[in-house]
Amino acid sequence: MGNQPVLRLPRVGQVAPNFSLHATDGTNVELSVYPKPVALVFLRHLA
Amino acid sequence: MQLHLPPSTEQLATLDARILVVSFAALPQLRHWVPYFERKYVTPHYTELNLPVPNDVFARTRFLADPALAAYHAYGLGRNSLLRVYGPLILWQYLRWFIQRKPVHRPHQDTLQRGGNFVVNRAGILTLAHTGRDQAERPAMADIIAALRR
Repeated sequence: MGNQPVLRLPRVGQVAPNFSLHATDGTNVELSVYPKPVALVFLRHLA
Repeated sequence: MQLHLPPSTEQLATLDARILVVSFAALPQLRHWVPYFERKYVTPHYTELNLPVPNDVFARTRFLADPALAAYHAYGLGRNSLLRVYGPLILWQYLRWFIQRKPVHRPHQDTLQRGGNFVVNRAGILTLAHTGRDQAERPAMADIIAALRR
């Protein structure tokens, strides 16, 4: 925990923080250019 | 998982919304997990509802690997305390799963990493941000659907 960066939860009404990640289908997803409304689910660990 | 069950699936289709599931597992591990998740968790729920599992149950879902935790940290998701992760609600949930003979596996990953639910509208604005007090606390599906409409 000691080395954990200072993190800030983004608030409703703010521009969503962007990210670019690899998907299991082999594509890359960049949120800021995603053309659809999105439900983002950050998993805790794989069940 | 509620996002992959009716009536949520129909509501998501109506809104032309997508689900982005982010894991801090490495990509190969996540690829391996997706069919397991469908087989072990999604399919039994459809069976309980007497519904066939759609062939394209994940058609609106992308599974993303974030082993470096870049996206997690961008959304303010660090690590929880041990007490918060394994509080009474979680222990009760595990006990219920055990009684119901639902599969409970020992995770091989960092169980203290925080998760969360967010909704981003078509304009790129956050319309829902939820991390919950512990891992048992999730936003209601109605709140997620309402946020997708904003």
